[in-house]
Amino acid sequence: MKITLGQVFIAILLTGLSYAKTSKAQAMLNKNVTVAINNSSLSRALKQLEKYADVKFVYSKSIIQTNQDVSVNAKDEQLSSILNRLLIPNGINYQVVNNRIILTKGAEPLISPVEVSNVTIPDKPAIATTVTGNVTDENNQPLPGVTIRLNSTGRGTTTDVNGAFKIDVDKATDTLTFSFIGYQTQKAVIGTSKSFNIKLLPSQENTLKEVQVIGYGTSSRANLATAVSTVKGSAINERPTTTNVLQGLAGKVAGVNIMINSGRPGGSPAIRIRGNGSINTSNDPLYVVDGAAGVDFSSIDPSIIESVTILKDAASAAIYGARGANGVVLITTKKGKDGASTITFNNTLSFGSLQHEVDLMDASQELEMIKRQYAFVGKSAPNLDPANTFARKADLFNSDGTPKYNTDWQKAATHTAVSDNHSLSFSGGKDGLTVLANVAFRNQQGIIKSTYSKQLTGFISLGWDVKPWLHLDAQLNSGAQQGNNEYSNVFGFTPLREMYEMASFLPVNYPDGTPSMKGDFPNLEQSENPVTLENGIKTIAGKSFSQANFTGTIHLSHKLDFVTKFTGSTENDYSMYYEDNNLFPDANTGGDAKRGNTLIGSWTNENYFSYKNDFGKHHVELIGGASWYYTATTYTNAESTGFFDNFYSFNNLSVGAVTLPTLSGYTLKTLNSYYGRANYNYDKRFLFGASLRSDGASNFGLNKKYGVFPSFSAGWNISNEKFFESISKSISLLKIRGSYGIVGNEELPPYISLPKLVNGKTVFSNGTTTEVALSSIAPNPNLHWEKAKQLDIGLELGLFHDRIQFTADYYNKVNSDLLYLLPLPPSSGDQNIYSNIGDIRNRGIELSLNTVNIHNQDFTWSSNVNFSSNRSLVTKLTGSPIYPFAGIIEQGQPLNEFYGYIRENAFATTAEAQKYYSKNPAAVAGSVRYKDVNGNGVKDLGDRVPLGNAMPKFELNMTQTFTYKSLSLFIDVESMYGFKLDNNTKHQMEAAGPNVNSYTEMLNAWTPQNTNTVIPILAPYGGGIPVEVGDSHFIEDGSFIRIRNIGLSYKVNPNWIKRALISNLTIGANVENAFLFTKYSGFDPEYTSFDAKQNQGVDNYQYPKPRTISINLTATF
Amino acid sequence: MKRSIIFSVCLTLLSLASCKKFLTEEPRDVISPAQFYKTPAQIQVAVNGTYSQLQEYYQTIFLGLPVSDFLSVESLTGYSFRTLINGEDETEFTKLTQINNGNFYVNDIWKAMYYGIAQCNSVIINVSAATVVDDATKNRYLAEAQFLRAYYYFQLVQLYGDIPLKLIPVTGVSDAQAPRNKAESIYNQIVTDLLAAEKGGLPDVDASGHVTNLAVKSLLAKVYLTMAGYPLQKGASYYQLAYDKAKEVIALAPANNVKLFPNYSDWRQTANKNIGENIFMIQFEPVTINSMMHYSMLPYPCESSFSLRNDVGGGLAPDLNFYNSYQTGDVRAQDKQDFYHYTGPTPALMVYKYWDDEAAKTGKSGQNMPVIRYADVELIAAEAKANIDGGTTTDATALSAYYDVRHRAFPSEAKPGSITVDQVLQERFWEFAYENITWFDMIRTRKAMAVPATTMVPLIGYKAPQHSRAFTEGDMVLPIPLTEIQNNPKITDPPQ
Repeated sequence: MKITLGQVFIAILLTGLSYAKTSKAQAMLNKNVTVAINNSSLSRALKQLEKYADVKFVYSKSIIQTNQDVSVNAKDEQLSSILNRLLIPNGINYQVVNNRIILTKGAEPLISPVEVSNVTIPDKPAIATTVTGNVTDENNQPLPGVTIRLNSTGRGTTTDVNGAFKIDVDKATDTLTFSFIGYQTQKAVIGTSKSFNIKLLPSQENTLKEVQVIGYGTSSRANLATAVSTVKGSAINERPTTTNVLQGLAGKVAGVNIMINSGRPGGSPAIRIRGNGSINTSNDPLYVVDGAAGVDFSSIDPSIIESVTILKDAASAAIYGARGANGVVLITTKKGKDGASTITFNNTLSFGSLQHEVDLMDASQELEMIKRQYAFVGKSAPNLDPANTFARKADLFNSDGTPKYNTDWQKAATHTAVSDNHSLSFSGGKDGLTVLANVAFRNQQGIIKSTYSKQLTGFISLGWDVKPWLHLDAQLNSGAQQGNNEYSNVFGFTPLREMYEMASFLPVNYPDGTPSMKGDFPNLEQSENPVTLENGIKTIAGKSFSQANFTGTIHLSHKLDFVTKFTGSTENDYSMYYEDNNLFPDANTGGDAKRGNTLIGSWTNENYFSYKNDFGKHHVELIGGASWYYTATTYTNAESTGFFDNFYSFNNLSVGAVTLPTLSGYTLKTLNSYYGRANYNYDKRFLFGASLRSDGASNFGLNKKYGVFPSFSAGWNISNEKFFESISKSISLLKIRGSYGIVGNEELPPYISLPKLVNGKTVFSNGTTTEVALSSIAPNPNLHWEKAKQLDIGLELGLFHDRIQFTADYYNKVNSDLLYLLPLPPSSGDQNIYSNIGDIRNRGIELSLNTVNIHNQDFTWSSNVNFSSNRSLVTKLTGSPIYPFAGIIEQGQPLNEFYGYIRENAFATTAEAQKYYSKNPAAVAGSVRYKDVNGNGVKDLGDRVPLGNAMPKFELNMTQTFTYKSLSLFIDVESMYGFKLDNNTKHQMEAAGPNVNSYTEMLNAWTPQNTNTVIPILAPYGGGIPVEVGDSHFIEDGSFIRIRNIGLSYKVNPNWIKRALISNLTIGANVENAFLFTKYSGFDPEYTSFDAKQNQGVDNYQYPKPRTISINLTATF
Repeated sequence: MKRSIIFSVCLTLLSLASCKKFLTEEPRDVISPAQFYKTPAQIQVAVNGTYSQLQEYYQTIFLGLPVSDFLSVESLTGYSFRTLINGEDETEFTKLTQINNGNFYVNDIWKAMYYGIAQCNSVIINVSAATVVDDATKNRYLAEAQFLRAYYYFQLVQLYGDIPLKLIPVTGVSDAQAPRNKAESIYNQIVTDLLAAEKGGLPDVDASGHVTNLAVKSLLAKVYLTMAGYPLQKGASYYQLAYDKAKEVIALAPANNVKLFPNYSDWRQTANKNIGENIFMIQFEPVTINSMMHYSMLPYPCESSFSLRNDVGGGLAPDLNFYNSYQTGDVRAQDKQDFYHYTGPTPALMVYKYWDDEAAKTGKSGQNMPVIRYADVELIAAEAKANIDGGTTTDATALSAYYDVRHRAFPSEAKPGSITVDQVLQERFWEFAYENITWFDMIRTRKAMAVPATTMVPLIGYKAPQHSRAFTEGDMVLPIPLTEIQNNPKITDPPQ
């Protein structure tokens, strides 16, 4: 259904647009007109025709003579016929362009509007002359498809297969612009030449000469001495199924680790710039969209992104002061371009399916496990025990106890997810006004049935030179998003979890149509099967949002600007949950309906001066300003249970028999900042920068509201030195730079520094519940920012006209005064208090290499490789170690360290086992054995040791692009090496049973015959020694190499589609998550919670990432 | 141009106006202490809050598993076990392996009680200073808080021995850290609080579930009884105090309609909440603060026909030896009295004491948990008097009190002419089985009941049926929790 819809949509759009142009012109000319003109001047005759025929003529009086008398009489005659009679004899030609009839000098009428797709109406359309020429590349090979535009009118053409072109020009003062993707744009003044031979030089992504967005303005990249990386919008959208900025950024920038955590539709990846620096607060960077700080990145559709710039070092991020400690992601949206109207349509259809299956037991294997578990206590498994006559026995088993069903629940719970993305963009500009409008719809289905995410966004961007001294920019981004997650019912029974744990000898449905439940087999942990859960639980979450950005730039002089920016945003988040009243366990409470609403409103105001000037060889750039930020959040949550019918779902909570307490809350957070920055360079050789920001935030202690954040940077552009000129052919750029700065992290909830009383409920037997005030949370008036001090040393190198570009950075980042929820002794009556304790250091190197390996007429091969390596160390931690799930945070150790017991081969004898487990009678031969690290003979906490780190030792990303003529192949390889993750799914499933299905490795459990194994003897629930949470067996190596993306695209020859008014048509096919090479036994090792709650890399029933095959079409009109 | 410069400068100046107020925080959905204790309603709400930690001890965490502090302490007796085991933290209690200071329950009980104490401390200080309520009301409120602080400390001191004594609210990191006080000073404070509460003008009984005068006196009797035994061993004088206090309750009982219910199932009926035999209870209701006792006691796995929420259970099952210790004819041991012989596909012996007919049908239990039953007060009187009299007593009050309880279990048995301490103790084992009382009786008397033989034996050296080893001196108190040790450097100092 979706395929056809998508296709139909394209078809209608394509034909519709091309048809619209020609047919409109035709319709105009075919219009029947009755007119009587006798010996009137041509100008008057045309005016009359405008009136009778409802058309508009455009012509230049200097070229078209209109004072001659004409006569024409027509009754219901076609306009074209009238015009032919009226104009042709007078040597006047005409053509229809955009609802107007343009008169030109000439003999033959032109009806088909060729080469005018992007035409703006010329004031003086008369053609003075025609010029011709050839365009070649740097090897003197002809370049087909080069766009040539006439600057004054925007009239354009392209070179043919031989690189030749021909264009009509009006005046000698006009300029021709030659542009071609991948080449530097060239301009030529027409003058007296009639013929041009143009050689285009490859641009080779010459980013160093580009203007760089740096926060509060721009600068030339060559003059910066800070660590800043930019990714273009086209690269963000390189993988066609990308639905948000982070997915698009993954693997593009050295030092920016992005983990695509799950295959959940709309699932949000985790981003870390230069490691984790915080334990208790956020590790997410600050997102700044078009200068507005603190925007939710997920509301920005990737199709409107012009570029993303990442401020990695403290010196570049320090201008964002207290919010820059985790780096800053600057998103710049697209803007309309003056003089060229384009329409771009992008359509992607994709099919996702389970990439691979986890090695779980089939029916006979699971029954073998259960049989052995029962044997441990000397019993027969229920399917083999004739005395056990449980209800579904005959349905499930043959008389000999063998299973009748063998269900692959990983198959049963998943399906092929068909998703489609569309975006449509209009861009153009004229007379100092530029416009870009974009609408995008993304409909993603999940491979877990019934999960989805849909997002519709509309974006409009206006740029207006109101006055010579005033420029206005306005952006409005608005949209809605909704998704259904597979989230849990009250017991955490999710379809995902049951996909792993459901017994494989149970069918999806019995022949009578009833769905199976896990408890259909005695002693299995009761739950619904995953398919029932998929159908029976709705977890809808969504939001509608809009952000408006209004920026005025006042040019006080050509050196000094004043910028004032107002941003307002509203977001309405909602959640709706319903669990069917016949579902276990809520069959007892009769369904559960919940609704929640959160409203977030915020505004920001930025005002700053920006000054740029040159004094001889001294170049100075200064900014200084102030900002205000305000955000208020309010929420309401309601719930009721006990529904007699599922009809109402979450739509009528009053039907529920039991109404639970409604919750609500309100918070307000404000920030106020003052900032300044100076960039100076001498002769483009010596570069200096400094910035200072003072930030105040409401959520900090009364005594510490403001913090000050300075930074410095310096660089030497060696390649601009005189002595370097001789080798500048081979070494085009050599720059060394260093920076140091202090940035802050203020991401803390409001009010935490204040004493407050918490309310709760208690009950007395008159039946009413009464509010209570619980004891005060200890206040901390000295609570202040986390500080990140960072040193960065970098090298930038460009070889052979920047054909090889290399950047290297070393950084040393120390996060101090970590905001930490310091635990209080429980005897104090309180749990913890936010305090500033502890330091974490992150050190690392980042290398990136862009090369054009082969470049000739037909074939290009370019590569982009980036490498990063980070090491963390907790240099100071006041108080005792912190124990996150299966981990430890301890002074002198890396952050994100797993911690626990080392599993060894199971105990050979009961005596040994009982000794180790302090004579626990449950310990027997075959019980799980942990290494007695402290050698005291018994199991205790002293046997725990660090078990490896959740952060990769290094990360390597490579993209290779091969282009042969119009065909392009793009391969994207991702790898992370040297990290562990906790397969907690496995831990849950390998607990003693018979309870749930498990990994097939459980059949390698200890038996008197099979003793060389770490898998303990199979025992029933509660019968043996349980395995530990922190257990080396579950802490697995996560190293992997993934062929993340293989994309093939074909650019249709522009000449073939010219008639359809299409200037660019690209068709692509793409395989995402194509191959994964790893030893990890779960679905995917690229998985981390990366949250500030310290549980790093714990794989807990993860949503598998699909392998997605997509087809993509991009058309530009 | 000149105009625009002026315009921009003005705009900037406007923006740069001082904004101290802009950053001031004024929470609207949580109240700050500075704004509190200012109205009678606020004070009442704060007093109500002192009760909330009572439920905590019995609150069961349900992720398909019944776990609670209560279940753990109860299984220390060795007369019960779990069919649904939730890891080593529970095994340490149920099998009495070696109770670690990192044990979840060791931490949780400590925390639950100290949180309650902090609440009481705040209320006692602030209500004492309040001027917006009259003195009679104020004294009543203070009495409630004093009783509850005494109760929380009583639980702690019995379980942990020497512990920090905190009587004023903590204000920051520095005063959060405090050394331990000797058990005796804790007991003395408990007595001080209860004696003060006695004078608070509380009603003798109150069906709403608030603290009553009889509850204060009953608890005081129990505290005296405990002080007479281990670890303080204050002996006869405290047995006398316990006896006298229990007698006060007995004397006040008839006028307040306080007496034993005729049937064992009566105490848990909704209509009987906080009246009659139920002197003090922990309050639950079915929706928001519901009881998990019914479910904890279900067998595991539990068949769906048996009770709703059949997904849980297995939290506590009676040991068969203990069950067999009940004497022939004991009503309590009969089917569907305190026990139930479940004969479904997975037969089990279960505790029926907390069975809730409503919960079995609706899945929600609002049943109260008994803390002090009148039977307890009667047996305190009997036991105290028997001790005063050298181990055997013929005291009429003591005999009647004992016989009142005994008679309900053995309706045809005649009133004895004398009773021994051990006889009363045995009766307590049977009468208060699985009511969070047995373990405390065992440690204060240092006696266990060998089962199924029913002889009273020294606790140290006795191996209970479910345990992996015999009790040692070290088992008489729980270790100081790891979270306290890690965050309170003074806790390891010698007790003051």
